[in-house]
Amino acid sequence: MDELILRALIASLLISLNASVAGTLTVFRRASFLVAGSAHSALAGVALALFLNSIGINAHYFLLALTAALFFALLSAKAARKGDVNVGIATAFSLSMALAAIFISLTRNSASNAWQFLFGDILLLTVDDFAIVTISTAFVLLAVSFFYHKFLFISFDPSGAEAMCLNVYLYDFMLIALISVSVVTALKAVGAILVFSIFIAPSSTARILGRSLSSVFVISFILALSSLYLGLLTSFFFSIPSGAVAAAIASLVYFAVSWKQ
Amino acid sequence: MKAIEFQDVSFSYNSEEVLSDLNLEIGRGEFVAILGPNGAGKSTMLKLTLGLLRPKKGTVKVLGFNAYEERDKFVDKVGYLPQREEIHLEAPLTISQVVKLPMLAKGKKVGEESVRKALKIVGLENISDKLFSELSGGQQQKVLLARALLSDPEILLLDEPFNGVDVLSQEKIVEVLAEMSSRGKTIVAVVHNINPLLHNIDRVVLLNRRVVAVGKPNEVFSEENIVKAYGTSIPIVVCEEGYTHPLYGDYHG
Repeated sequence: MDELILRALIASLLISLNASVAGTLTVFRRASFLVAGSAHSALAGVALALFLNSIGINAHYFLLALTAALFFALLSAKAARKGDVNVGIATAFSLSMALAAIFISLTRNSASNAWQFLFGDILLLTVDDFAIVTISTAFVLLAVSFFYHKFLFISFDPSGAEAMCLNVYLYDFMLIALISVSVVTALKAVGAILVFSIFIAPSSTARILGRSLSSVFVISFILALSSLYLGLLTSFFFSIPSGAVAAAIASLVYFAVSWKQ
Repeated sequence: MKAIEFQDVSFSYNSEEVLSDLNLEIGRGEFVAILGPNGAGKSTMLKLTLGLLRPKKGTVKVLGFNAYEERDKFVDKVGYLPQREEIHLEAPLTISQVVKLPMLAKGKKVGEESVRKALKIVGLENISDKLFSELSGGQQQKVLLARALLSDPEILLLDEPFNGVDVLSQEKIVEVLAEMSSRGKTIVAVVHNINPLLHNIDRVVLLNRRVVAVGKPNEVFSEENIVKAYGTSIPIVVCEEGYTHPLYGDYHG
């Protein structure tokens, strides 16, 4: 099998794990828009990296995207403490997009590079990108498994958690930060615009269909993986971007299931 | 030593004073209801007791500890039932998982037997695998009460335990609280409607940013005190057992 295709198949599996874990926790946290906000904040970091590289300063897109997404997580957690996480997300979202637009406009030959991060292409992942996806996924899964009950408790009953002496602000920040890391992990493969569909649509569908915590995670994983594989398959036979097809499938499945409900 | 002490406590959110010069002592084993109109500072009193807010003036003590500065020393001895409206139902948790979650979040192990015992107290031990989100408001409140009882706390704090709760569930909750009270537990319940609890409580605190009246229900529910607390008159009836009941549980002014 072609090395690029094999890499794309394994990366799809890893991204589906991210989508299942981070997407489901985002749905439980009632902050689905967080994924879009995080992805677009990361895009500002990517745009800065593209700009710096264009003027001869070496900067890795992942580190700057991660820094931007974590800064966004901090702003969102602070906004959540004041009562409405969505206000923080929306404001950070527009700020990030403004910065991304400025950096991209300053970058020579920016269009094609920016395009990859906007819409992604899982078939164009380099060995470095693949290593980032693998290490990052392992980190997210390990961290979530360690703090799983704390994340569930603060999402289910923040007042009760605070009354039990849990540092709700800290764990909320950690949850948002891990979701952001997860989103950045999938950025180059799926793209800042389409990552929302891959992370939120399968988890939201699974939330409707699942009758237990574990079933929501499993259904979400299966839906994300099936969408990504069908995207790859379609792009193999037709000249259509795999990420776009995967996002369309995941979103349509969500609408079909929620319509039926 | 008192279970809970408020010594000259004032608290304000930004510039708006919510509680002013509050002095109150609740003895161990007492069953106290806190009543007052919206914005009277009832829930703020509970949050001060839990050490979640720092008083602007004065001191709150729980089991002899400063509630804000030493909350880790008494938190395991306090059971808390939050307002049900603050619970988010997105995660499909079973009843059993809801009861266990606080302990698991604190890294403690929870035995199935202790969960079963807590659920048995509220009469829900046979449906522990059912989804919490699919229960009625009354059943959800009973599950949250079982959760608060899991660690066998010395003090039980309840924030609006009867909101959206059917009469049968109200009766069960009152029965459980009366049983806890008879076993020497200190119970403080913030309520809009005091009538379900009225026959079981030792004292009632009528609150409107400051203590308007405190004492046995028959002493507190006078025309004068009710007008002071609610700003309007509320009909009062005396039941067959001789308890004075304000006819409306709440007055949303």
